[in-house]
Amino acid sequence: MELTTDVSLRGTAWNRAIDTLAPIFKTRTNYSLYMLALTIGVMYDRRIEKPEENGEDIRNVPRNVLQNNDNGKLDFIFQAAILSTTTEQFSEEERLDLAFGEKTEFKKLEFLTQFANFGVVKLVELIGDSTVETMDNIKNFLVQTVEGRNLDIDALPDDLLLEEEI
Amino acid sequence: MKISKIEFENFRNFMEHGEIRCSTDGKVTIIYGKNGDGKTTLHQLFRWIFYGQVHFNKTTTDRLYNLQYESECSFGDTFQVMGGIDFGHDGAQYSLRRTYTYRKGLVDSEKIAEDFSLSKMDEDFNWRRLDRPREIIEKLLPSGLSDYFFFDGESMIADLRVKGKDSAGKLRKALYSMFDLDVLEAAINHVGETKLKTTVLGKLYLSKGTISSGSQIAAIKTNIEGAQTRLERLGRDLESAQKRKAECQSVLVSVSEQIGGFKSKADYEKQRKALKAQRDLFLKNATDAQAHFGDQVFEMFPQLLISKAVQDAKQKIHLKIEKNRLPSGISKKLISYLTDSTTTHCICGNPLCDAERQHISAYLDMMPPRSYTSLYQDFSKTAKMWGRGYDKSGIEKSIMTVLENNEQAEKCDVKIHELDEAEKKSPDIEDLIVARQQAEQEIIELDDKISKIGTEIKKYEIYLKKQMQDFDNATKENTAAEKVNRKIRIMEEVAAYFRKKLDNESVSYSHRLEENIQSLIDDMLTSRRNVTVSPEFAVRVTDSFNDESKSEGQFAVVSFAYIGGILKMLRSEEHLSSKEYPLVLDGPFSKLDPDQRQNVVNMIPQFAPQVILFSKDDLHEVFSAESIGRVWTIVSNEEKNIARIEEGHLWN
Repeated sequence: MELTTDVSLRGTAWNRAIDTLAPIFKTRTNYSLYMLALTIGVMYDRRIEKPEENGEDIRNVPRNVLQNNDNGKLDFIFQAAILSTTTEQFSEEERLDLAFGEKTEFKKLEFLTQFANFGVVKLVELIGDSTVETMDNIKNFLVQTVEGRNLDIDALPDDLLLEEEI
Repeated sequence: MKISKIEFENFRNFMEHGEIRCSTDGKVTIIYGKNGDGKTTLHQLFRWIFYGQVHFNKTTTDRLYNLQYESECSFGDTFQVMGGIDFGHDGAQYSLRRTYTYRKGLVDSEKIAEDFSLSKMDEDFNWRRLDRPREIIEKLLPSGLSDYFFFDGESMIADLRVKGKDSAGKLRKALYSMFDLDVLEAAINHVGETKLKTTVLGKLYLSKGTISSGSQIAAIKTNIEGAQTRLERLGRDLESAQKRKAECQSVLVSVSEQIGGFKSKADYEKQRKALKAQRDLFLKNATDAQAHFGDQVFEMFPQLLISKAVQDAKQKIHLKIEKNRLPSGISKKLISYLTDSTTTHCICGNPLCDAERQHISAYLDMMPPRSYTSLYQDFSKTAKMWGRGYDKSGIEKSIMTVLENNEQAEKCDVKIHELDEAEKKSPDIEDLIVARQQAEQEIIELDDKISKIGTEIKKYEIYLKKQMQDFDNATKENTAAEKVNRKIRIMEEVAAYFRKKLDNESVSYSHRLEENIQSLIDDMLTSRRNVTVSPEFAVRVTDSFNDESKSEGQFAVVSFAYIGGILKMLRSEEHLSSKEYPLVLDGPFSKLDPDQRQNVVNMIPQFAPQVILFSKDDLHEVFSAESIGRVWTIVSNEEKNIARIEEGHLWN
C-alpha cells in the first residue's frame, strides 16, 4: 500500500486510549494501538466515519513507522476488510478488484482508519480502574473474541455508530 | 565587587563583636583556623549576610545566636545577631547589614524580627539606604552561583552530587544574569504569546474584540480570559506542588542521612534501604511485565482477529470464487509449457493428449487478468496461517507477573511501615522517622495532585485553543481586527529577533566557557578530561569513555575550573569587565593531592580580583610571599564554643 500521509487519529477515544494505555503498549504506542483497534474493527465489521471530538489534539501514526513495521500487513488487512465487510454493498467483482486489482483511487487508508475508529472505542471501554484491571479486561475481551463469537458484540451500544454505517 | 570588611556579633561561636579587613589589591586574604575553631561558621557568615541562607549540619537557620550570650539574657529579653559586609563596586562604596532579633523564651529563644539593608555612600560621604536590596545583591552576586563564590570544599562536593538538575537550573539563571542574557529572556517573555493575557501579544490578541464587536465576540472573549486566568492559577498550583515535592525529596535525603549517621541505627537504615530497593525492583518488574503484555498482545491478536474475521465472513458473504479450485503449484509458466505443441510429455513422464492440454488451459481462466482465483487462494492460505500462534497462557502469565510483583511491592511497603513503627519507639530518632514517613506520604499525595493538575491544565488548554479558534473566526471580517493582526505579526517578528539573538549569544558564550574550563582543567587536573558546555550552561566533564565519574579531588578541581572559567571569561569580555566577583574558599585544598594543590594555587590569583581563603594548613609555603595580603587567625577557647578573630598568623 502506498503511504503518502501520516494516519491521523482524531477524537476523544484515541486521546484517551493513547494516554491511558501507553504504559501497557509501550513499544510504538500509537502504531500498536492503531493496528489492534483496526483489526478489532475489521473483526466486528463496524466502522466510524466521524469519531466523537471535543477539541482534542489530533494524534497520529507517522507514515515512516507504518512503512518500517508493515511488511505487507496493511495490504493484507485491507484485503480481509474489503472481502469480508457488510458495511458496504459491494458486488463480488468490486470486492475482488479492490482487494487484488491495481485500482488506486480508492482511499484504502481512510477506509481502514474508520474500522480503527470503532476498535479504539471498544478498547476505551476496556479501561479499568487500574492498569492490571485494564490488562485483564483486554485479555478477556480478545480471548473471548478469538475463542468464540463474542456475545458482547451484540451488546454494543448503537449510539457509538453513525446511522449511515449501520 | 571587592569586599573590604566583614563584621559580626553574636553569630554562633563568635560572641563578641569582631571584624576582618580584607585585601582589595589583588593579594590573597587568608583566615587560619584549626578544626572546630569556626572557619566554616565565618565562611557561612558571608552567605548569611548576602542571602540569608546558611548550611550548617543539623542546624536550623533560625538559631544563629551564641548559646552563652543567650544564657546570660533574662526571660523576655530581646537580643540580636548581626552581620555586615562593606564592599566596593564600580567606584562606589556599599554597606550591607543583616540582623535577626530574638526574644528569650523559657526553653528556647524565638526569632521575632529580621532586617536586611543595603546602603550606598553618596558624594558627600553620607550613607543612603537603597530600595530593593535583595534585587541589587542578586544582580551584583547571583545567588545561583553562591555555591561557587563561597566555595565550601567538603559540603559542596556532597551538595552538588545530590542536587543535579536542580542546581543546573539555578546555574543557568545565574549565568544568564551574569552575561546579561536575562535581559533578552525578559524581552521575549514580555512580548509573550497570544494565549498569555498579561503579555504584549496576549493583550493585542484580546484587543481584536471590543465592546462594539457584538455580544458573540464579547462572550468568546470572556471565555478566553476565564480560561487564561484558570490556566495561570493552575500553573501556579503546579509550580508550588512541584516545589513542595522537591522540598520533601530533599527532606527525605537529609533525614535518611541523619538516621544513617546514628551508629546504633545503621542496621535499621540498612534494612530499610534494602526493602526500599526491593520494592522499587518489584515495581520495575511489574512495569516491564506490563509492557511485555502489550508486546505479546500486539504480536498475536491483530493476526488472529483478521484470520477469524475472514473465517467468519465466509458464513456471511458467499463468494463464487470460493468454489474455484486451482491446484497448488500451477503457474502461467507451467501451463504455457504443457500446452505448447512441442511438448509431447507431461512432467510426470506420461504422454500428453489434446484433451489433457485443454483441461490444463482451463486453469488460465482462474489467473489474472481473467480471474483472481489464484490470488484469492493465496489470500485464504495466508488468512489461515495468521490464525496460528494463539498462546493464551503467555499473556495470562504476564498479568500474573504484574500482580505478583505489585503484591510483593505492597508487602515491602508494609514491612517498611512495621520497621518504622518499631524504630519509632526509640526516642532519639522518633522525630526523624515520623518526618520521613510524612515526607514520603506527602510525596505520594503531591504526585497525585500534580497529575490531576496536569490533566486539568490539558483540558483548559484544549478549551482555550478552541475558544481562540472561534474568536479568530468571529473577528475575521472585522477591519479593526485586521489591524491588530498586523501588529501581532510585527510583535512576533520582534520576539523571533530576540529569540534568535538569545540562542546565538548563549551558544557563543557556552562555547567560550567550554574553552576556558577545558584550558583550566588541562592545567590543573593531572588526568585528561573533556569538557562540554551546553547552551543551557550545563557542564559535562568526561573521560574518553564518556564516563562522568570523578574522585572527590577531581570533583573539587572541576568545580574550581568551572567558577574559574566563568570568572576568566568575565575578565576577558570587554563589555562584561565591569562585573567583578570575589571568591571565598573554605577548605578547598583538603581533597587535592599535592600536584593538583600546587596547580590550583598557581591558578587561583587568575580567577578573581579578590580571593579570601580559609585554611587549617599553612599556606605560606605554597603561596609566594608577595601574593599574600592580610592574614587573620581564629582563636578559640578550649571547649571551642567561644571564638574571636585576631590579625596575623598566630600559630603554626
